Amino acid sequence: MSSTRAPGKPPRQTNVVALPNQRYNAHAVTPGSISVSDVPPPRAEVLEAAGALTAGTTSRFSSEAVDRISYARDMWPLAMVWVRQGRIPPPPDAVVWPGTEAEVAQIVRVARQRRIALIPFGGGSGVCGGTWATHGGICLDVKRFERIGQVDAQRQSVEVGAGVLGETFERNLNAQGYTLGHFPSSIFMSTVGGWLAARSAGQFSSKYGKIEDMVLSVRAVLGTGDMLVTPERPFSGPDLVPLLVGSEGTLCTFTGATLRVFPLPQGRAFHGFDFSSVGKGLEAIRLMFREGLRPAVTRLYDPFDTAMVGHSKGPSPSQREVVPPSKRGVFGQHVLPAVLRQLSKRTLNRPAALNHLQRLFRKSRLVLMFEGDASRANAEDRAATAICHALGADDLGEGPGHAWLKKRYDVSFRMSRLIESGTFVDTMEVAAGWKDVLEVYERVHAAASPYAFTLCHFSHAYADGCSLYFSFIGSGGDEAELEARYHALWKAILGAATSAGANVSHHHGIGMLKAQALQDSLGEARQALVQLKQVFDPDGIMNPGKLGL
Amino acid sequence: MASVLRPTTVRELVDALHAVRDGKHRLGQGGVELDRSALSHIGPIDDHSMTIEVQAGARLSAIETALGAGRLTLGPLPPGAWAMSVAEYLEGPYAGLRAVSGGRLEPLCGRLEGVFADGRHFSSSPAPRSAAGPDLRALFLGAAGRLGLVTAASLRAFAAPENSTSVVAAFNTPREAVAAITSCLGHGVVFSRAQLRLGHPSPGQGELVETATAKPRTSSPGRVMAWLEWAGSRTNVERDRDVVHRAMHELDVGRSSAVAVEGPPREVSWAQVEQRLSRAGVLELHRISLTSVVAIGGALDGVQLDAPVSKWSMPGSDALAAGVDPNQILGGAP
Repeated sequence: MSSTRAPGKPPRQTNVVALPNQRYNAHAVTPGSISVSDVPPPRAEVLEAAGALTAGTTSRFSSEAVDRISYARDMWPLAMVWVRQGRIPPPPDAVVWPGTEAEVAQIVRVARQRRIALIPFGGGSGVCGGTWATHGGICLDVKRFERIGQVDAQRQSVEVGAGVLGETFERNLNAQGYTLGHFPSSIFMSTVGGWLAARSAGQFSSKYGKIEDMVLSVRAVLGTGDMLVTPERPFSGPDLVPLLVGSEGTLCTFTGATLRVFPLPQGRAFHGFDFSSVGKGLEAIRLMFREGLRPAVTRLYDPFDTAMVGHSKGPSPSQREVVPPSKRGVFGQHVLPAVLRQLSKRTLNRPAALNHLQRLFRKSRLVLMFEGDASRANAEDRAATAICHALGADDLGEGPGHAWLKKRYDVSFRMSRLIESGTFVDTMEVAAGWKDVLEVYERVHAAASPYAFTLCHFSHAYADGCSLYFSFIGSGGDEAELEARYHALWKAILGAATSAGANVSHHHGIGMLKAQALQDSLGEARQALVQLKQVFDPDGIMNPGKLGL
Repeated sequence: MASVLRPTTVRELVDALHAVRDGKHRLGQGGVELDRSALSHIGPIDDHSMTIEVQAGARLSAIETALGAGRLTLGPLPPGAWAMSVAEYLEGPYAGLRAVSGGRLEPLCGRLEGVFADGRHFSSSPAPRSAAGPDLRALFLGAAGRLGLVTAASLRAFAAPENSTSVVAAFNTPREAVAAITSCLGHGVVFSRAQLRLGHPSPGQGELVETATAKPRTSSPGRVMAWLEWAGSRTNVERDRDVVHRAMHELDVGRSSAVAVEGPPREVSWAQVEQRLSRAGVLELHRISLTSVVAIGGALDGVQLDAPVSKWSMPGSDALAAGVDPNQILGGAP
């Protein structure tokens, strides 16, 4: 990010972009060189509140443009496209960093009095625009809630602050001989608070569950300003945890949680299989869960994804280290991106033809990993192998599992490269019961085909269904066409998924991207969500515009 | 004399709620009771996802019978649950929870249908897990019908077990016993039932039977005998046997059986189990998870599960009830 703009180049006009049920401003800046001078000034009422927000506390407050730009977006791929185009989402008016729950409560009380929007912020790793300051206001960063407690061995639990980064947390637990078993792709940049806010899932969720399965208690400051610590079971009455977890900052700010942990696994068993079709692979997973097996990792790739996984040789030396554009030479900064842009336009501009080519591929690869008690992991692997063999799968041995584990976080970095080359890239994760999974797969594939090249894998399996994780790569004749295609794609795929029996999200959450789809899926019950909002955030200051609230 | 509303359809239930509202009554108070027993349809079964569609008034025992025809089961629920209706188990103190692999608790229902006090309908997704905003099923589960009324649900089942087995193990202290059992849960074992007893059993008293091979390591006065049962497919039972045997230092397999233990069921933490065992007596455990268990036997702390709750202990729940049902048509928070 540069702090200067090319001399003599005027700032662009502010653009207005339409999303389903949302209109918000994108601030134009210089392409490839976002300048702090492009950022509109913070609102006066927020600057006037600074003293009251931080009085007598350790809270830090900033209305500096560089901080506001940094908090203007999450990892929503649309924002990454915008940055390429020279636009940024609307920045917050300020950022505040409280250090205690009392300080968070003070900030909420002041914001209530002055009707200033608050946007709770963890690592900014969300991919649905969940932290965009669509109504201006203040980003409330919880990263100072960074305490990691000692594991309570008797209760297999640990207290942790909402601002702790995932990888830091897991490393700390490992040093104590435990694991949380939660490994989202964003683990290097997502926080415990973000996991709670968006109902996160990790790559090992089939064994350890999603984050809501790990929560014993949460600490939060509600939109009323009240501090809440939920009791652990047993308790009587409705459980407030499922109502707050997944609320994406619209009801409360999480400050900490008590989470379930597990002793570090003593052993792991890996296995890969190739099936003659997606349907057979899905049937194998279903039978495993019916049998009571609980692999930590279950990933079934559709045929074209299988072809790519199967031929991947691992990251090249240049891919291992991401060099920012500003530090690349002329070739890397200008020539190569221009060539890639032309290439992507010519290939991805006709996604239907590309998707049709996928029919040439048949094999569907399943990667399994069992872990825990060593002998049990091996026994589960043997039972899974018997199921796969009975369905005629080719046994690939341990190799595919080891290869996956080694490269499991790489895909997020590849996305940036692809977007840089002039495409849009995005993912959609939904879940469905077993009887609907294939139908969801087929319908979403067909719906996406005119707009984007489409891949899919099936993971996060359960006894009653699984998650489908689609990846889309698209392009357009120009940036305007590309963006229109992006929005048309999302409208088509969410409609296709829900009409085939899937939900709107398995673990990415809602944010702005899926807000209309969530409201549609709630039907008459959307009023219950509004009532929750009125109970926990009566002045509507908490992260307005998200979840359709 | 109390008037009883007995709807036979969801439409009639909504009409009944409107009548309660129009008459300025409150359900459960002032002489108006709601009986959902006529909403008792069971089926169909989705064998692929191992779920069954049921209405609120259907009894869990009848559902279990229906599932049995498809070689499925609701699993090892606490004994008092089988006489309950779907609505009673989901809305009552049991909160509709079941124990699953990994020592976790999860709702017995996947998809849930209900109505709110103003007659609006609720239907959650049939997807196994979600990140689509807050889980609004929590307005129904364990909320005593004060925030919304369950009308139907898709209940999750297990494959009917092919086999079951049990062990008897001896431990020097209650803490050792709890640690060994929770270790097994963490490794994925799902115990269908357990009995724990402090001290030496008396032969012929019909309690836990100590066999010749289950000798105590010491004569510690805090010694605990544990009887543990689990079930599943043949291979699953064998896998779990291996884990259980390594967690229990001294045991005897399959020769003992549990006996009747009296008392009201209570949901308790493992710390409460340990405290109770330290005092005396025998405890029978059900719905055994790392988080909590349903315990029967003697004076126990915890949440009583076979009686209405006089006051909710979850902070913020009173405000929630007032916000969701401001006219207290469903009775308001207890």
